[in-house]
Amino acid sequence: MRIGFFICHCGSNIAGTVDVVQVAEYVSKLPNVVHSVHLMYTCSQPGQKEIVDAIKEKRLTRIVIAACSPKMHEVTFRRAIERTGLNPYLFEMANIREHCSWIHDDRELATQKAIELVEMTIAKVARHESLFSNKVDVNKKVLIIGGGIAGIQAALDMADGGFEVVLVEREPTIGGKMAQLDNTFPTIDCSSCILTPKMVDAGQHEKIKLITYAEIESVSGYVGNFEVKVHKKPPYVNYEKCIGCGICERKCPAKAPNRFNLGIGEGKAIYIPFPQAVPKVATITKEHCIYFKSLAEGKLNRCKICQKVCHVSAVDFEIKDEYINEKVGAIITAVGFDLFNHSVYQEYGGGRYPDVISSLQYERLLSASGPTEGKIKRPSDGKEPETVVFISCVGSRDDSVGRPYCSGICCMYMAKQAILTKDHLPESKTFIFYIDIRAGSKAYEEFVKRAQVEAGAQYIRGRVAKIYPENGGLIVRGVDTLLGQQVEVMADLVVLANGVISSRGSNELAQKLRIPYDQYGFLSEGHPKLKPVETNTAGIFLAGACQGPKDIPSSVAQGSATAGKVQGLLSKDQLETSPLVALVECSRCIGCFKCLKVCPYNAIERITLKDGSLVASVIPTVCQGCGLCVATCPSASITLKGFTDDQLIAEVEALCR
Amino acid sequence: MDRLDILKEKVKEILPEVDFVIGYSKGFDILHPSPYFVSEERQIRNLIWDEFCINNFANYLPPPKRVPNGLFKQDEKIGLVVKGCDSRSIIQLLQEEIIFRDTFIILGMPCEMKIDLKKLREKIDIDYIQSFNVSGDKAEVKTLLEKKTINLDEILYDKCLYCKYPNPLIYDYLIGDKVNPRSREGFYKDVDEFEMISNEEKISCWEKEFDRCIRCYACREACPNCYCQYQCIAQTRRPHWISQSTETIDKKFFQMFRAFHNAGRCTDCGECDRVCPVGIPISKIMKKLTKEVLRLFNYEAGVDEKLIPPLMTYKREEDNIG
Amino acid sequence: MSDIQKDIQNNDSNIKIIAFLCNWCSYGGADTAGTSRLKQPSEVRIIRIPCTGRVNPLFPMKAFIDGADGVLISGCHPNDCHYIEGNFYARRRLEVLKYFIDFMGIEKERFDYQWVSASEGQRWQQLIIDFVERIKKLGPIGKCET
Repeated sequence: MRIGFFICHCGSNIAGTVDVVQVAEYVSKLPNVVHSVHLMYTCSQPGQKEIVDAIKEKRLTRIVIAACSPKMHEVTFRRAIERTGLNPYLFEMANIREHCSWIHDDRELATQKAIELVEMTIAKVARHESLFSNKVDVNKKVLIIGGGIAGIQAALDMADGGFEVVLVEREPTIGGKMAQLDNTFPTIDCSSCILTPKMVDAGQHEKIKLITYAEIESVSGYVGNFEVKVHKKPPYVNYEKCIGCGICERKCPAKAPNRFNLGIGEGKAIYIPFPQAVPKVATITKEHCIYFKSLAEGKLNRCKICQKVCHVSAVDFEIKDEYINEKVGAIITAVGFDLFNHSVYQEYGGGRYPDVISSLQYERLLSASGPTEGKIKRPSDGKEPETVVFISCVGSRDDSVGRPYCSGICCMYMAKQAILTKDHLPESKTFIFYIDIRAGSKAYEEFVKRAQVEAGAQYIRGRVAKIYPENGGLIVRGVDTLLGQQVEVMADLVVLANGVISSRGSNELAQKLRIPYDQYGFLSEGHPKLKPVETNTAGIFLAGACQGPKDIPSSVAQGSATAGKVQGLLSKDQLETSPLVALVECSRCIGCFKCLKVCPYNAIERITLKDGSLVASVIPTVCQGCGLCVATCPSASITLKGFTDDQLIAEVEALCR
Repeated sequence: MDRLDILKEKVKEILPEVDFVIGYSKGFDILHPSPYFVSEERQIRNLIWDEFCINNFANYLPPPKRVPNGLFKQDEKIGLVVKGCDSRSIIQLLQEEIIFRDTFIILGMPCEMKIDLKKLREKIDIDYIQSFNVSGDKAEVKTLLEKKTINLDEILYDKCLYCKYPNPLIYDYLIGDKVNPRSREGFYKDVDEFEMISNEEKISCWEKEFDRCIRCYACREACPNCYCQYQCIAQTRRPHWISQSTETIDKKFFQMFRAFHNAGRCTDCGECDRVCPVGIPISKIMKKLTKEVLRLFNYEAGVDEKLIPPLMTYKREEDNIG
Repeated sequence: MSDIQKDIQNNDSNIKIIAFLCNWCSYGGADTAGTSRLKQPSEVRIIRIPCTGRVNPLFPMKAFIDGADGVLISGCHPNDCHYIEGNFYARRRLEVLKYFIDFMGIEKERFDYQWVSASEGQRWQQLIIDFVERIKKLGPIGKCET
């Protein structure tokens, strides 16, 4: 073994605290070290050249570079070493900058520590072996979960780029939350007017396979080769046949709450979510359907009116759950968000007052396609309100309900709703109780000004302490913290700015996808700044509000960003996998399969050896190299390449010498 | 009918179904019954059942799939006599899917008590034993040299004195009537006391104990959970976890990792302790682990076949950690 | 002179602390502390591992047996594990280990496991200052063991 050692001055970053000359001299006397030098900047071109030349001239077989963190330049040096023909994994870095020179002042102690870190690294590198990566074919199809605006944008960008897309949506139609909005800030353009064309494009694009009313059942595989099982729930209407004429809905005798309108106005047991739905098909909700209800009670009811009136015989009560298997190379998660349920706020009536409504319910009241055809009528008696009060931060920035974060979008949509209220009811008065006004994007601040000046919305800084009904109206009592006095407003309608929470079921999905999520259930990006749409699991990406509260422009930007990332990934025919994976030494495996039970990636399988014994085996292309199996194996029959037991033991022993 | 007679009858009944039945027979003296392999009907009369039948036969169950040339052929079916405590070892192995339920028949023996020879030896010189008779809560012990009456509670194994599971938790046939469990209260007394002493005392205590260890690996061989056999990391060179030296520190490390390999799996059967030729109190180490596992995960090993051993699983929010 | 500087001074002790840090969170956290020039006592030696799930409890045991005075293991916060669940397994194993080694004559205060993310440089600094302080108070590991 011929070890070469290079220590970097990093200008004065290292050499200012660590006596690099002394370290190089000390290391030169260690066994197996045949070359030990100090260089000004090892990562620079001349520095790399010196390393490359030394490898060739001194026929070095192991390389140790003492410099910055391997997270900075491990890849740089591996490439340099590879150019000499030496296996790039016969190399190890000692981190003497971030972990030594930058955190210590005492030159003697820092030098001593650097020497120990280098000795530790040399002990490890001596136990390195040549490692080789595998290549796997890439499936050039992408799965997008969630058909809101982020998912639609990603789907269109991918499909336009020529890639096959499978778009899975939980509801019967794509569109997501944006489809429920009336107009959007900061331009007051009609939400459906800008969304519908995209929905139609997504529905008609030849590269996009739309699977609605479906959820992800299971995910296996790895980047480039995921296998996904999609559970298609039974809509009891054949989506292929249904033409969306709506006659079934008109004739259906069974009343049901209108989910799309969030309970405002009535719906039917068979329904088309909204006129612009894509696909425009009817779906039966089993729990409200007279036929299914009577079936459950054991009675034979022959309602089935929808079936009788359907011209195209699309209604089919016999449809069963269906499971569709899809193979894809990458997955984009765009499952969006839900609104905070305000019923925990007892001071706002705990959800009992009909005229205290959520912001999204108000959107439906404002919408021309909503239950009131765009006329603002309050739910209790249908009266047009004269005074509307908006309350901000309901389930945002509130530790008492476990939601300390800012939902980001509420300040803006409250301003928008105030403007729209004035537009619909010019005689009305609006009050907005707020904590702070957060309007930090392009044209947002101006928009808030417009609400204040043009729409005359009266902003009151302070929390609302109590809402209670009186004389057919609602008394909103709060405090104006700027004036330092109590405020009471007699309101006809109170609209709450419900905060953004993670989408129902998104954590279960994250577990299926094996991606982490934070304490509030939002899915975690790979790096808060540098990997905003990647996850820590290769091949899985995030777009939109599933990662955290986001407005429409940001969601669209992320949809496109993921499409760009995925196109980059899928443009390759083959992917190189990391060689730093686990390996079972089958002659030593005792066949207890504890490894298989703990592996988070299902990367371990059972194989039968010639003598008939059953042992574990790692699938190197699936293994992510976490080493959980290695620590679990009682007989230490599994090694993790690059981090073997012997290497870590050698490091410990070197440090304890 | 006497429990032994029922056992003999049952063995006779199942013998045609199995290749052999493992039970106990007389050893070199009355205190040391031997494991006995019954493969023919005429051997049945040699079976015995008394206060000294202690071996945990779970250790004889077909070893891992990896060792096809082990003690048994793969397709052999066996019967075995199983005490309450031993049944937990079997459940533990079933939980780990190391053995398969259809390869053996369990003759479950409700068990009143077993005599700890280490404790008995402190009361009387047992090398010249002649007879041992139980009456009530006392034992009449006669040797060549003397005769003594000893309180049973003073000579029972700790695991018997505080036996929570005297009746097998898993069996095909229960031999005779069930017996009443005893209170677990006090089982961890020695552990609790040891925890209270100073660190220096702990160090010097273990130093003394492990100094005696001869690395014979009897503890490992007697343990039903130690099934790595030739692949045990105590002896492997790659990875080289531990040297083969007789330094106390290495012997301590061996005992520590053997114990830790059993964390969340040990059922306190005490076989390691019983077989140690130099009397290292290994069961005290094992009990420390079962105590912590019970405290942290509210888990007892080998009680429920359906449970996953605690170190093979996790909760996102742990009840008793952090 | 700040408290931190006082803590860092006078560290000519013969204390040796080995830290096993997961590559994704805590190793990055220690890097962040370095990049921010957050001064720390010099007794700690960091070994890089992919995940706390890789930590066979035998490693800390071995480190103590070989004479380390303190062992620290640090990984991603629960739910943030790069490998989804490695740290959940580690948490159970290391918690049992802590009480076990104490029983065997290695004070449990000599061992700790923590969760530090890549952005928590300051937390890492404080953790190291506190841990080194704690080990210094305990002194070198019991010599009669070796």
